[in-house]
Amino acid sequence: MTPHSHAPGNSNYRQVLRGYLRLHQLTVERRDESVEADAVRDALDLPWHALTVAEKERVQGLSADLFEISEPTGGVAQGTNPQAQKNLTEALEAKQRGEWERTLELLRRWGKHIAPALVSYLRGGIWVKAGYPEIGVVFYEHAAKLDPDNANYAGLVLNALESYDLRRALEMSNRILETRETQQPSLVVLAAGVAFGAIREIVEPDAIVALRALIPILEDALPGVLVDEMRSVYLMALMLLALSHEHLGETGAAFDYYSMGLRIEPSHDALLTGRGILTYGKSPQSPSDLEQAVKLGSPLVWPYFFLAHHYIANNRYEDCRRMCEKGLAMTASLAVHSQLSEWLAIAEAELGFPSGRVRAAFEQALRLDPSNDTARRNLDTFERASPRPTVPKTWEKRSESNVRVFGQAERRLQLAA
Amino acid sequence: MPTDRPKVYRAMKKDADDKPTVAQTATGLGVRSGTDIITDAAGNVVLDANGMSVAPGWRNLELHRIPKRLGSIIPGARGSDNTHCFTTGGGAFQRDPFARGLELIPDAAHHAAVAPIAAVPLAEYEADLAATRLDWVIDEA
Repeated sequence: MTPHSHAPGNSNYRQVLRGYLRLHQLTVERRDESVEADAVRDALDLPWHALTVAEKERVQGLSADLFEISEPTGGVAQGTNPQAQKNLTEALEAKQRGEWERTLELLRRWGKHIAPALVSYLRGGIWVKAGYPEIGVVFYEHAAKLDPDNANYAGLVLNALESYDLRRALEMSNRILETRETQQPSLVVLAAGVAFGAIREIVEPDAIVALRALIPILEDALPGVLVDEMRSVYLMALMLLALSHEHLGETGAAFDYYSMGLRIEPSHDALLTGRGILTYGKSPQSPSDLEQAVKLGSPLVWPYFFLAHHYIANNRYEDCRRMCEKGLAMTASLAVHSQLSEWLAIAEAELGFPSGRVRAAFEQALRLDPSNDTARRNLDTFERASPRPTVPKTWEKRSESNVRVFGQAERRLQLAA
Repeated sequence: MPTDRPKVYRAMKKDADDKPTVAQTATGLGVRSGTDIITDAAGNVVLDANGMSVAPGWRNLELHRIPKRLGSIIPGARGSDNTHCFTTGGGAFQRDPFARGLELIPDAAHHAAVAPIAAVPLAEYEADLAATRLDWVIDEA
């Protein structure tokens, strides 16, 4: 039983899981004897027969677990005993190892000895990790219903919803924000995170209005989030505040929030990247923030992109070449990749790479973004000088402020960096 | 109940006499044309080993066909409580004559089709299935 045995990809398996989830929802709504329920069952016949024995067992386990949460249990656990303790410990260890089937089996057998909310929390986590957040949400919602004082459960519902149903996530976020006076501050921050993500899709000036509304909500919630217990949520709040202020052009406040976060977590690659970009071309601290983010293995293109420019601006061509290659291996817009290809071409030309390779990099930059006129002019410079490769070439390089503005516009309110 | 035919189970709705309802549905004594079977241009059933689905035991039925009330025996059962597990026959679950005009064709260890023996008109096949109605009894033990 490995994590992969649960992995999505088998369309029949996915279809059956969704069908059973729908039957569960109809059961909860007391409509499991309806025409709609019969139609769901009819649609399940064919994919069911295509399942393996193991898949059928997994579906049966899920169906039984869903039945368990359809019934009001009162959230009370039966008394525990040494054997139950031992098996529940084993369940937690199996979950740590990614042995999801084993964990679910143990929970089915021994879960009655622990709080039902905890059982649902564990089940939800397994289904989310297995790639079925729509199933995970059902268990998380059950946990949140049984233990409404635990904001972590509601936060998990929100996170899982955000991954597959943004509309529902936003509805939940709005409900939390509207009643924030009675909500736990950590949950308010998570809800603000969902709202913030939605602002990315809004055009100006509505985005500015929405960000202005979000800032006081986050500022009010921040003191209530305990750094020691909710470090990631606290840092998320600081990141959201920094990005909001940055987008509004309030660089001083943005800088302060990035710095506040870095005092708590000096190795936070997203905060380092954010502060590095904010101060790029303005502060000597910027390149070292970005370099630290790269050392931490930042999964996003930005520190590599800005450092590539920093190195080329300072004629550090080998460093620039390495950074461009790393950046080009990452997900980014065509415009960003075009820019990196252009800098790679210049760096390789300066390092004496074969002219065919340099030309190919320039041409790649133009293919990725035909409007990259700087790359076109630099290619002309290269071609004019190619009969005499040793003659110094005067490349057209973008200014630091120009690159900062370009990067900030491309990165627009991206939470992760 | 005839004991010479293969023993099979099917979840079906019942009539007032505790016998299965004859209907062209997944929970009736009958088949859905276009789903369970197809017909040719002349309206005859195509002999492609498909037909009315049955299983060798009620525990082998699809989980969403086993009535929910049997959930204490088969956890997670999601079938309608308006259906019942009917059985007929007493023989082995193998390819064999089933009733007049019908044969059992297993396609897996736990699934088979009650199909027509010959390419007969759909109405005739449905009549042959319906003719077995009194042979079915509820068995959910």
